[in-house]
Amino acid sequence: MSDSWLRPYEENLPSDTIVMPVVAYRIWYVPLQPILQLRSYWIQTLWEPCARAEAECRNHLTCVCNDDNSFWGGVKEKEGWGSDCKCSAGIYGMKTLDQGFELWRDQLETMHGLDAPEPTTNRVAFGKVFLWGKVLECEKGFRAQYGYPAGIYHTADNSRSLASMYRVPLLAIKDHHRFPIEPPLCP
Amino acid sequence: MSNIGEPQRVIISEPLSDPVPHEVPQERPEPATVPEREPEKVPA
Repeated sequence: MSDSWLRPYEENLPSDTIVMPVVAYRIWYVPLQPILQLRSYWIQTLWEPCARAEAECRNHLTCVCNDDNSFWGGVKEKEGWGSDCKCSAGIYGMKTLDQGFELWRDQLETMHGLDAPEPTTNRVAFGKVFLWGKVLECEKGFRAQYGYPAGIYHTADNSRSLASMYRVPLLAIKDHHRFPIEPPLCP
Repeated sequence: MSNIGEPQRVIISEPLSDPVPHEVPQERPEPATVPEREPEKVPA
């Protein structure tokens, strides 16, 4: 089930095997204090410390990735969905730091001006992520079967605590002038 | 999530070591040692 959304791609795309995780860049949603945890940004799946995150289709019963359901199998065949999978499951990551940084900055700008009880920088974590298992490489990023944070960039008051909680390095963005707002000083 | 573009290839990633850090076991405190008491001197 966890990789059924990848099957249409496996049949039609070239594949390579590697013995290391793919490293990518992404953002996480951080709930309001006192809850300190990382969640997927849009669907807000919890990323547990010291446990891999696993991709899951949230609409599997009716999704094009479900080959086991005979009713929907017939509908898919009739509609021709099988050859053009629209399932969006996967642990996502961007290929470059700049792409990830742009995503982080865009979300902060979206939040800017909200009447928040704490700095909006505390609500969006930016970091590196390990991706492995079956990984779909796209033009600008990846969709993977499994993922775990590889490091948290020091962009907020709670970055150090998050890195410690997930037992990953606290990373510094050296090019500070790119920050849209004043960042906390890196150690 | 964001638009990551068109799919290009499938990578089968089988890392040699687990990318997930393991929980550090809680250190057990050393058992408290009771200092031996000198036998009380009984007055003769």
